[in-house]
Amino acid sequence: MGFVRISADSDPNENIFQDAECEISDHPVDIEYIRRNIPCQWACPAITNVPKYIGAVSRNEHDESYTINQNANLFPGVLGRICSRPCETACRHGEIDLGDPVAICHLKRVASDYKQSVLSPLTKNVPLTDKSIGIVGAGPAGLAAAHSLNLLGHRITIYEAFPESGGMLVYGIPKFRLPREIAHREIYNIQNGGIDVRHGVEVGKDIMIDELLKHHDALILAAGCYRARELSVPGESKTHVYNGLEFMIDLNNGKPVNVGQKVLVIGGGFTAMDCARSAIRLGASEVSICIRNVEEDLTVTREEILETKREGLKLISLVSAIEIEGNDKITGVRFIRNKFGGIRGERGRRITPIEGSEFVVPADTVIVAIGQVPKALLAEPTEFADIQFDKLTGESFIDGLFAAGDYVTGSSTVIEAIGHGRHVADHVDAFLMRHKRQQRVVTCKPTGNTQRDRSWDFIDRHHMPMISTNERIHSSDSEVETGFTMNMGIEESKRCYLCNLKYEIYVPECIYCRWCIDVCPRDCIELAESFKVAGNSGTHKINTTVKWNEVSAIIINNDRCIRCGECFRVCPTQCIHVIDVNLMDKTLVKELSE
Amino acid sequence: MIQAADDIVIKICGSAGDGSISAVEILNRAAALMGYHIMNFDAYPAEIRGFGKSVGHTRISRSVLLTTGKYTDCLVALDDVHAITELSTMSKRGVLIYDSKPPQYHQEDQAVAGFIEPGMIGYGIPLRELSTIAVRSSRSRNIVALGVLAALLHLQAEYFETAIRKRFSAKPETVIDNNINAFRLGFDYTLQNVNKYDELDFQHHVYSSNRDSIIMSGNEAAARACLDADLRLYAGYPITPATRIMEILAKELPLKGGFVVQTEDEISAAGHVVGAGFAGARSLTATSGPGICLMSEMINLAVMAEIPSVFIDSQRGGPSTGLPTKTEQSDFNIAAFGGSGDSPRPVLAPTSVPECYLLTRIAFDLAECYQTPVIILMDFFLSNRFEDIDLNQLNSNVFGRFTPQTAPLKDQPYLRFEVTDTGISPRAIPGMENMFHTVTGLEHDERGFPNYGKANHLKMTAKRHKKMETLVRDWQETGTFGPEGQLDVGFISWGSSVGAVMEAISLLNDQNIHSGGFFPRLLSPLQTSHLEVFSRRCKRIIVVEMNYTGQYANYLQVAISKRMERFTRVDAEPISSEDIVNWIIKDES
Amino acid sequence: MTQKHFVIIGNGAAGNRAADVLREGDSHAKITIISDEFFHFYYRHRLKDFIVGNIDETSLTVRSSEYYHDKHIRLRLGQQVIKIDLNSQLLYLKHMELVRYTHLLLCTGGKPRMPEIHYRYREHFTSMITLDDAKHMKQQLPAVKRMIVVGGDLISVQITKRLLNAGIEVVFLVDRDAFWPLTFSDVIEKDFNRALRRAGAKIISDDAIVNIEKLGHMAYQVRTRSGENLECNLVGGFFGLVPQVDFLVGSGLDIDRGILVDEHLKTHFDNVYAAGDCAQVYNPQLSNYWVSIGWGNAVKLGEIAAHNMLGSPDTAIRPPINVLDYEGIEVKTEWWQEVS
Repeated sequence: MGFVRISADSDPNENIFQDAECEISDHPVDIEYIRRNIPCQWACPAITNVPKYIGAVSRNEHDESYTINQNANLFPGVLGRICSRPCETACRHGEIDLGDPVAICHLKRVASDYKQSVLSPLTKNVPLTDKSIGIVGAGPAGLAAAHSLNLLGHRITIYEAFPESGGMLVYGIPKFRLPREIAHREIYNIQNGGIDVRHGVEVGKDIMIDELLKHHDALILAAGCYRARELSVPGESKTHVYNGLEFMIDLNNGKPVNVGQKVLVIGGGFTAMDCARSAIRLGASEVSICIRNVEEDLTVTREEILETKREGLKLISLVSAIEIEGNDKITGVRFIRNKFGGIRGERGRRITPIEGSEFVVPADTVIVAIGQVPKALLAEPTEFADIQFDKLTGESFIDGLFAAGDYVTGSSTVIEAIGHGRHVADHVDAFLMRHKRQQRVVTCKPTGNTQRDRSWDFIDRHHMPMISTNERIHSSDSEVETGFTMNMGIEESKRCYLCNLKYEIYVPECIYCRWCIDVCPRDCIELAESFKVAGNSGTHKINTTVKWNEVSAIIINNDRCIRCGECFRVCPTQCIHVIDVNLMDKTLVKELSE
Repeated sequence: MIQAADDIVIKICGSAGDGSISAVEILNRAAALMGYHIMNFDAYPAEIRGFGKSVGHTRISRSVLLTTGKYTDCLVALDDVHAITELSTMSKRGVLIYDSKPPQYHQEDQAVAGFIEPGMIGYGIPLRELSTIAVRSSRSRNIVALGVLAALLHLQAEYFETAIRKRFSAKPETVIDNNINAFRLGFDYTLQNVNKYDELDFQHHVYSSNRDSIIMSGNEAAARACLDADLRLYAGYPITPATRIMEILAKELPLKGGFVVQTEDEISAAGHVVGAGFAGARSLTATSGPGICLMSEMINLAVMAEIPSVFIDSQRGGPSTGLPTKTEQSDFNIAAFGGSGDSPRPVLAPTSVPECYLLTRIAFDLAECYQTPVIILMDFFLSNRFEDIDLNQLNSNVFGRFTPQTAPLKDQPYLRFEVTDTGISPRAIPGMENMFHTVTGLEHDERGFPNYGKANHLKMTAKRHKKMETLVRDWQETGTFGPEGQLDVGFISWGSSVGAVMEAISLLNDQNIHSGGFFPRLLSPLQTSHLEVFSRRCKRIIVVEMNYTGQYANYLQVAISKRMERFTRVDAEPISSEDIVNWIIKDES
Repeated sequence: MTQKHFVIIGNGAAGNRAADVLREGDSHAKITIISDEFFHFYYRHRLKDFIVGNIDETSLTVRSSEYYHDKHIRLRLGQQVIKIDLNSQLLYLKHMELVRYTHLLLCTGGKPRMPEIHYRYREHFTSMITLDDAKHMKQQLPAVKRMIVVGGDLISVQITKRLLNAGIEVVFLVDRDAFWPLTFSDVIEKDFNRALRRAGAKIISDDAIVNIEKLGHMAYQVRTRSGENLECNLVGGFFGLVPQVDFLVGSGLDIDRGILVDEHLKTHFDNVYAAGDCAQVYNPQLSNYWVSIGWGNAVKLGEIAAHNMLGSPDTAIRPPINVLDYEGIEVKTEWWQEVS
């Protein structure tokens, strides 16, 4: 398709798209470049522009940073605390020999903690339409979809069964990880943009799907996963056996829960961790998390595992529960030892019990937290019962009926739900407007400086300050993580390589002095004999040489480049150009001229 | 060598341009400031730019040094591929310092760390990264490595800082600061992060630093001698390893009113030198084997015409252009006998850097006193090795005093080539009043006129040889070394090999093999009486030199009846004391 | 056919024994031992005598460098493997070298366990597992008048006894939380306390550390739950060993506490084995995976692994009945015999 240049008066990114020096492309090669070179942004399900917002933090522009986040993921304050951080796993700073990934998540919280202006909803991109959309569920996915569609000018009504908005954010996450006021503030800020939320309305009971379909031009089901998966072992129905989600909802609703002294949590996800840590705060003296595999397989972050252990929790690995023992009162759980079969990460690997390896671990309370599944909303009327939704687009075979978030993808993380909600919203918009109005584009703009100092590469990752384990037990709702100080935030943000900057040697101006190679931090600048770009995939191959007379160009390999800027500074002919490359969503108001 | 904690051989190995040589230079300076003795002999490729290997090699000790040491105690690898080839010279408990943060992964066996032998100790230091932190470039790896060395070997840092300041004194302040930063970073990093596991240790010791010493190479010493001897003309054609002499004189000599001429070839250079000598000005040229071949004809002329002139031959591997950057002692024959006819001339051979100075200085006196060309045989090893020199050493006069004989004013006609008891004729310089004379390459009579008569040729040939006998009589240095009395093993050696032999002698004496040496600085004419006395004291006589046939041994063999054994090497490296000792011990047992 | 290359990570009892067996069985293969320690193979269990000066450094050495020369075993000391690529059979070394293997044996041994509850002040603890630790401790000892020892593994008891003999006052803080995850049986505790008291240590039980503060050079203050403030020159933290497997996480090997291997000490990869203190083998008598610790076991396991690597099947020995659970790791009581 090539370059797109369309004016849109109310586009928040307008100044970028209007810039004459800025080139805009939606070519697959350019998109592929982003995938390989800005790994954090690509890893984020909501495509948050990580380098941009970290750059803003380093300049002390917390408001700007917050807005970049808000645009992509709605809840910077919330996600800055509880995000699963797929970006950090992808971060280039975490590559072997380069140290630890940047504390991307904590920096999001810095933006939220230190922003000056009052929280306000984002302004609409486009004129109002006459379309009305219903959304079932005011959880992360529902709110994300509502937010996107609201900005696109549609009228939104959300139906929420609980008395408060937020879904899992409010009911599934313990307060010591996410203080309620933070969640409420950001959730209501979204709703204040002009979204109508009706609380206490349970779809399928108070109102039926087919009715909603009649009321609205489109309907999105984003009801989440609220049915706990069962262990299916004898004794599961005993009184002191909880399921993890109920346990959390009860606690968050302020119901008194007694867990006794010895608690076994079965399961290894975020909910299991939250249950275990809550149990400690409820006064249990011995809490163990029992998992069928090993510590390495846990989805929670290494930091969280360490914190959990610091609070005194223990891990029992390679076990499966086969029976909960006891009569009225639980006495313990009978486990069987597991073994692995096959090679990790390969197909056909199994976890199987070892015959004759049963043993009993004593317990007063058992919390089963092995995942959740969606509650069926479509049972009535019955012709809807077996509708399948497309996991990617959320579409169904019924015009105007969509589903988003955990409800369609199965239980996932908050950021995935937000990403999915936004993604489905684009499809809903395209469905309603009969053409695609949101487009993902790459912008390239030359910039005259590196925005970094080489010494910043040697700063160590900052650790999140936390309250002591004693305090945690004494006031169980106090937030454990106290957040970076503003200074720590600035220092940590300097660590970001700013992978959105692309370094290029302009060959006609290069004099082959090789000074850049003298200063480069690793094998990121190569003497190339030849260079080949393979098709649309954007992959390239450099044939390197060590013989001076075979060098046709000196090339910066952006896959290896850590954007330290040393080559740029040392270059005597200034033939190294720095280009700011960004992935953006662009709203197209008019149809594209063919 | 027997490894002592404070006698350490250090090598810094890198690619050309990595700065290994200049790092060693700073190390030497710092060590000398602390009162240590150093001996430094670098090896670098014949090509100036490119990817060739460059090794700075120095030995630091509290006692006076005679060799640079055969085994490396501590190797710093600035370039893995080159350093791997240096590992074969490591001592058994040697220390390797390697870069643990190169820009990319090495395949196995391309990283020097993979070759560490059991018993050796390897410290991985992120040299490149530290350099980047200090000066934002990997180019200061060499200085960072110096910091690591200083911290590891327990040498005091402030002396290095002084040395860095001196080394870069001509550069802007920022360059000095950067280098001091790089040094400090390497030093501090090592103190904080490296546990010491080796035994190399200078124990932070500083010896009397009021020693009036200076670090000099053989070439520098020779050039300085020229300046001090009031040289008027240097004419030469550059050739490794003698070029440095010309470089220094080109800079310094004009300041003292002298002249430096770069001629079109060596024949012309020698012509200039002989011409200046004829005109009464002190003159010299320095060359290597290929050059001395071309100069032979002019040297002959100077012998025949009895013109004072000095020739330095810094030998390198031959024949022909041979091995330009390797050392050898194979020009003795051409120095002593090159040319046509019976052509006697003194040949001197310094054995150390101070002697390069002393013998060059005295060569001018000899030339004028005996009215003859004088040849000084240095070699690559002597020319390019650096030693710390006590300035007092340069004032000594162990060889004797040689004053030129000038012609007295007489009534009779002046005889330029008058036959005397000593063979030395009164010398006058062209233009002196009443001293008219003729000078020619043809055989001549006492006045200098060509004369082909039988009796005249016999008389004049004898006269020219008589001067050499006089020289031997006047020469005071006996050349003997080591204990008195009977010797199990007597060594004869010359030039740059002497240090290794001296070291071997003391090692052998430690093992109760009674040994001593005869090390003539005046190679030719032969000091026959000293040689005879020495040979009578020895059970075995071994001649040690760096050439294939034993050129000097051949020359000596005619003078004494005892059979001489030859220890000869042409493996392009200086002879080591260990090699000699092992050879002897194998024979003796 | 490419040359076989046996790479052994770890230069301890298991690794060295395995190297011997491999060389006996295959005189042509390339054998490499990699260890992040700089020292030659030494007797780890003699370190406690070394620190108090009962023996000197030379009596620690098991074998000299000549041995490795003679056997053509390449010894890479002071080098660390940071990553393993099991699919391409490649080891990533910290100094940026890639080493290719055809057969790999992991004998990385153990490292001191640091219970997470002590994380905040962990740098104030002195522990002793390597010769480096021992040398460091030996250097400090002359200035030590009083030392607080926390924990309760075998080393802590052995060291306490020797320190007492050397005239150092030792306060032994039996931290039950930090000590056994399981109930600290009264029988063991009684034996344990008696042995220590007889040796002359002051024992504090039923209390726990809540903080350690550094007051100055070699001066620490230990605060306990009961409010006591104890001052000392050194705080010893001895909470047992855990297998050193951090660098293997994410490699594709199965890591629980240690490396999970079958009874032939093989992992799920055909040419990758583990032996010594870092290997975990399932034991039916215990219904659990166990790590056998100690010199004798390490030698045996090294031998078994080497036999299997050479292609002659050999099976790991079954542990005796008298094993103790140690934070999920089963420790043979053989280790405890010196206590009583």
